[in-house]
Amino acid sequence: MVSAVFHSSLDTRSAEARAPRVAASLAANEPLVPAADPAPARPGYDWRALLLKVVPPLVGMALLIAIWGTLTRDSTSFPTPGATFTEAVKVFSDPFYRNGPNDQGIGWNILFSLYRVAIGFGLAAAVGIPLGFLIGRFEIINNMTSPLISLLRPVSPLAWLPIGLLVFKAANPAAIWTIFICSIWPMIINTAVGVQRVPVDYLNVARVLNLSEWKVITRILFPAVLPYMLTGVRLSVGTAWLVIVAAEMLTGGVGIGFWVWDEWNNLNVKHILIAIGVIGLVGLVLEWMLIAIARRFSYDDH
Amino acid sequence: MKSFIEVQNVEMVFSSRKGRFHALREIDLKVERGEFVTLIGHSGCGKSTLLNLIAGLTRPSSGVLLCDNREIAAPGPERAVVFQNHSLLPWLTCYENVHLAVERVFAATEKSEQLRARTQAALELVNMGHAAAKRPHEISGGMKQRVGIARALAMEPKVLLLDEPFGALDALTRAHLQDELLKIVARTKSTVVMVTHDVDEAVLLSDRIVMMTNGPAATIGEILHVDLERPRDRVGLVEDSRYTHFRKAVLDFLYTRHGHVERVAA
Amino acid sequence: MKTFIRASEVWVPSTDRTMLEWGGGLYRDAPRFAAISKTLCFGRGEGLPGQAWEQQRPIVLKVFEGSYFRRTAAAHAEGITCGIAVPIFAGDFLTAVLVIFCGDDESHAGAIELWGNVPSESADMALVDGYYGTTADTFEFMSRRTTFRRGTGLPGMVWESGLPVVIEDLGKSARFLRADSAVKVGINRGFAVPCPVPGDATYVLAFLSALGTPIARRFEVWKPDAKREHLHLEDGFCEQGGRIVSAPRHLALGRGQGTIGQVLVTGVPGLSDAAGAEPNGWGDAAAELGLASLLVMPIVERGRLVAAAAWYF
Repeated sequence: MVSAVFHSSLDTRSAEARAPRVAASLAANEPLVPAADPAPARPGYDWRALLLKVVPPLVGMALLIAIWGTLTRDSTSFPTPGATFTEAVKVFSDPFYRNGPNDQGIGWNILFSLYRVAIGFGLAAAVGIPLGFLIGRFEIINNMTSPLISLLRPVSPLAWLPIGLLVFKAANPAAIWTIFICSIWPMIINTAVGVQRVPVDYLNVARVLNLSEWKVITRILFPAVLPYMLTGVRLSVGTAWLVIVAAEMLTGGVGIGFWVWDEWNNLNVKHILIAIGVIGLVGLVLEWMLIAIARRFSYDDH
Repeated sequence: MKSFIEVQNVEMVFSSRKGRFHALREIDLKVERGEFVTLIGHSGCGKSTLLNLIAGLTRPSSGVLLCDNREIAAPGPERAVVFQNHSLLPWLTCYENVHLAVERVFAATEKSEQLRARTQAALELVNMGHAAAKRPHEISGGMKQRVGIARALAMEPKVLLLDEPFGALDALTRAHLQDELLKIVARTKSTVVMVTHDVDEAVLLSDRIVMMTNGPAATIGEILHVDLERPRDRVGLVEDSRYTHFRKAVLDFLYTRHGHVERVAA
Repeated sequence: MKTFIRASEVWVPSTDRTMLEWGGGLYRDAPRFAAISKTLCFGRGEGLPGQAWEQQRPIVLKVFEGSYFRRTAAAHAEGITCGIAVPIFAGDFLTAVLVIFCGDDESHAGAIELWGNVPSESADMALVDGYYGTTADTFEFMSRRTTFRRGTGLPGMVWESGLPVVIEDLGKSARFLRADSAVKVGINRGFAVPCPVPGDATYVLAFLSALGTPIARRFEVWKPDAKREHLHLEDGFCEQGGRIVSAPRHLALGRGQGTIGQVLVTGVPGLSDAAGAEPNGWGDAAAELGLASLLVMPIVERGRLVAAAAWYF
């Protein structure tokens, strides 16, 4: 009866349609829905929210470019937005050229940097996550490693770079080592915290069910710790991308960081600005990807 | 004749960084098969501790606990627990949550077809068959608690242990679930030990109400034998003077007597 | 005015210990019953006192017809409807049987309850039986469905301490309901005494009454000093004076002094219907309060007197 009232109010607004609705609502003893208003149709796409999301950032961007343009209009050293854009088009028109080991397209530079991040990162995950599990599960290991971690964590990753160069004697492994050492801390710590924070209730459920240790790890511990692990991974990626650019500036070779430094040496400010934009964009994309993965595996009930 | 559950002179002392905490002293309790016993008392009176001891989740500092003539040495599916906050694994659906328990208990002897049937039946028993594919975060608190009960019952336990199962729910849902629990227990003839704060719940559901003194070193104070006939009708009982007397007795124990006891002539 | 307790009597074993003989009694307003009782003697297992001797535990008897009770007709004539027999032991030796008789009385609200625990069977102290007079059935209903543990409740406290306990105010609502009838007032005063018996069972006799209709007008708890030479008044309740706290030491009663002092010597309950004649100032105090009769029950644990409970009517 009640639903009949609501549906009919959405369907038509003609007087004839209102009559049966009035009759229905009277029959159901429901209070009458105000008849006079031509109410909006069933909620369509929320254009307003979309506009709110898209327009302000665009306005912000435009504002930045406007300020930039105004400040550099008469400058000789700093390029204008227009000039930078033209140069960007040129750079991206042929991203994968190869003119020699130190002069490759921007595409290759980005890919090389990403490759180093992936390796260093992957190693950090392979070492850090199991270690985090052990630290979280066993008090004694926690006591052994926790002061060490607290000591080494605040050290800037770049301070580790000379050690990498000393040990590996080459730029590539040294850069990967730097990524490894800076990404590993959040992975260890977050995983350990995740294991410690598994609610006792879940473990009690496992105990009442008398689950085997393997089942406890796979069906209880692992899914429970996953969100914490992914947070650790996400934090690491941000730092890793940051660090690789700096590391490459110091070591040289192929990579986006190296390109920045190289272009500075050539006083090609336009390229530096383009690089900044590219680095930021890639970082953003990495972040988005990981957020998407985290959401896929979440089971938010709190 | 031995009772189904026997708690013999159990003491519980917890040692922690802050020192020793004497939770329970001189606990003696017998529960017969098919009986519904409620543990009631103020916070900190050790009733949850006692339930955990019966469940086997904790070992007593001294004393012995027996279930069906065997010592309770560890937790197990024959003493199924319904926790206060449902404790459904959030990454599994309701069906999978119950199935986890069914699988654990029956997989060795039954085929997957039968396991599936058991899981479905348990969910139907608590009227949650329609929500089998939902995840815990998609259903209400009352429904989660029902699935928790389904999981416990699916194991066909010897004893059903409930730790304030309806405490986190609103009054109407609580009333509804209490009625359902009554029906389920009547059908399955389970032996039940329940911890609660709620006086009405205790009188409505129990055969015996075990009233515990205040902690620390809490012990059993009084036991009330509620011999109201079953099936119990909530609405009808409101008018039954016996129900009122029982209720008053429990309230009196909890709120009047404790603190009003005169000094002993000693 | 008829009191809750209509009569009390003491039965002592004969010299050859084959039977129980009348050792004194208080029979306010029950002359016929008194007359018959004084002539009787009971063998082991005979009659109410004999049964208490035989079973070695307190007994509450409410149905006289067809039972072992020997004074049914006389009891009915006087309106006596319940007898409570408490055997007193020194070790395994019976020294006396104290019997208390209660009568249906429209204007009394109160109860005498016998609680017991057999440790090999249970950790609960449950109601063995009780006389509830014309009190609301509710009270009896609840008592029959409640069990106590050591230390909780009036019976539980006596169980734990092994000594008499006085509670002058059982709590506003307590488990006793305020009866509807105008005459009856809520039961709120209680005193309970342990009844030690051979073996490890524990029995407690509880006397509960309402403000306006007390079971006794004064109840006292006396304890012996270390040398067992004197009894000191330690606790109690008086309807007129309120809670009794310890009396000054010089008012103690020595061995053999008065009815109460005699109990220290003999270990046998004492009765007197001339409370005013008690020595050492107690008699005068009793007379002043208008107290006429006195019943003293010894609490004997493992052959030694640990306390004496006195009722004044």
